[in-house]
Amino acid sequence: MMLLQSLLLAYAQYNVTAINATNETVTMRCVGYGKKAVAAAKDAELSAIRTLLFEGVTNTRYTMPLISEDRLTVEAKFRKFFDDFYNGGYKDFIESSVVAVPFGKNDLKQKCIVLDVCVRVPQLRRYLENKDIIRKFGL
Amino acid sequence: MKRSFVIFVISIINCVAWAQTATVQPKIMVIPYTKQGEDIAQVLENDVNKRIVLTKVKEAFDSRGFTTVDFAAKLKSLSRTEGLTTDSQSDLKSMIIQQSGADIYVETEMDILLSSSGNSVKIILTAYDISTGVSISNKVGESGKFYTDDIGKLGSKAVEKIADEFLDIMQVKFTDIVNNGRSISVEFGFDSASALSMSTEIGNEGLTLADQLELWMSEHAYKNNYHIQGTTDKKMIFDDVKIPLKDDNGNNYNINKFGLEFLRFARSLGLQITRNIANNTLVITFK
Repeated sequence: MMLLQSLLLAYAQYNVTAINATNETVTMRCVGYGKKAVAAAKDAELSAIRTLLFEGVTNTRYTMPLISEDRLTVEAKFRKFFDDFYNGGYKDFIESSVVAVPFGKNDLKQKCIVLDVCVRVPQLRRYLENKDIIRKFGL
Repeated sequence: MKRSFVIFVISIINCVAWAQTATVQPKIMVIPYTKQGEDIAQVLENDVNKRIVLTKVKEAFDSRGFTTVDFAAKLKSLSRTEGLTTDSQSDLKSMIIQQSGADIYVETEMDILLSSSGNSVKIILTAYDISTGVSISNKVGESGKFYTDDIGKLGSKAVEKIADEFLDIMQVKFTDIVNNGRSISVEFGFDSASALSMSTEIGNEGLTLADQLELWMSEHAYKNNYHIQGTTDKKMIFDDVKIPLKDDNGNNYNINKFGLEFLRFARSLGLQITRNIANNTLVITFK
């Protein structure tokens, strides 16, 4: 069961498209799935955060991920940190989260919501540096 | 009793905190690109746009909490101390790079494109490791076309677009250095009066000096990572030798300590040497 869960996590695709990027923020259109609107919205926001952390946002200045190591390895290494972070800590770095398509069923009959999520990247990077999740610039 | 225990615990924590040595950071200097024979001081003084671009690149480093060596200040201080005149400035750029104490320099090239459909600026950023000449990060940025004559603003725009990625690539290289060691080069040579050569047998095993040097290098290069550029009877050059950032005790390790280790080895073989270090190159001369 654990192995299956790990495999699903490892190959999960984030439904995220870059909209705009500045020196301070990156805005992504994200699809979030869930039985209720709140859960789906959280899923969309976390997709934006995880994309920024582990994948990088293509066609923006943030194409390289903030964390260069493998996601599962890092999440296991800093389990306590990521539990807290995903459970609400990440919200400190979301500047805005605007509904682009309201909660409802898509063509595949999946319940989802589409949000335009704007994330403060330098602040998020500094936070990760201060928590020793990533190294500061330099050696 | 309870108070003594608390004091004891605090002092232990303090000791642990002091035992952690901060890593010595590389010195990075941002310089303008100059063509062959171009006077680097004049290039900067005559062009405010180049100064703006240079400052913008430095700002990007500052935003990551990293302070760079100030090129303009180095230029002025060197001009004062060395008494440089315009005649002697043909290779001033190399001299500043060599004497600044910087480990990495970032060259910024600016290309201005003027057209009736708008002006734009292209910026080329290239970071080089001074000791090995290896390029660490490269990026080309474009401002996009705008109906403006403010070239400095266009230059800033072009830098902003690529600065993050440029620094991210550098950081990947830094992480590699942390994991696999930093590069130095080591040159072995002989004093003109020396009776030794690379084919002289040294030690009890009947090995030549060249063999002894390679064996020592394979044992002392970090993770056995080194590259020999070439060997002749009078010279042996290791153009890339990895050394760790920290020694086994967690203290900073550097090229000087690496040289010291070699000095001990040379003495154990009854050899006399002199050591010189310049820009991450260790030059060992056998007497």
